[in-house]
Amino acid sequence: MCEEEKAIPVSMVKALAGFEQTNDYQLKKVPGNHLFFWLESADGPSFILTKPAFFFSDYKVEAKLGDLEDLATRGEQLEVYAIVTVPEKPVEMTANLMAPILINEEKGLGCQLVLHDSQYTTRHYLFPPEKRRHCG
Amino acid sequence: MLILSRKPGESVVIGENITIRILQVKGDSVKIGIEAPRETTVHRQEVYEAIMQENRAAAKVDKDIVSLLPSKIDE
Repeated sequence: MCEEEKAIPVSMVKALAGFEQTNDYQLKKVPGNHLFFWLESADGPSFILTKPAFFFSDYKVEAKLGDLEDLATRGEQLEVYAIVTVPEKPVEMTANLMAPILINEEKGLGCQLVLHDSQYTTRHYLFPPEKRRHCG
Repeated sequence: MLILSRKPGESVVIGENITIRILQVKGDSVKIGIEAPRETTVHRQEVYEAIMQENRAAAKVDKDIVSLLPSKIDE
């Protein structure tokens, strides 16, 4: 529980929309929590991330190889994260599945990919309606 | 705003590296093809704005929120 979580430096190959002033972030686990991560920049924004696979088992990211050229070469692994928006009632938190964050953890590179022609939106509830009604 | 008339198959060149070609006009919809360098991002405007808005909303997160995050999916 108390062990210091190691941070991975992540340099965005393209700035995140709305945050053009910084490209340098640190990725670390939320202590004691396997589902969420922090993506923080020193002087800029901080985001909570999750891995869509935890909550959306059929989530798929399709991209052309050319779109990922700056991020990874063939055979390198890319981790898929989604930015989580936490509203006043945390149980109504949503994940942005339309624009996932892809991270090459080995090289410390990341980018927000826009899934142009997918059915995903910027707000997918992480929890089902039953749970959202009872909690928070 | 510069306004140009183009027919399907014709193009517009912006700067040295960006070409926009009109591919098809069908009813009230125009299909365009865009060639741009990799470092130039191209998005549908409403999509770009939605993502920017959501990024900004997500960045407003309070650091203390972590204590409220579930650590298991089925609680």
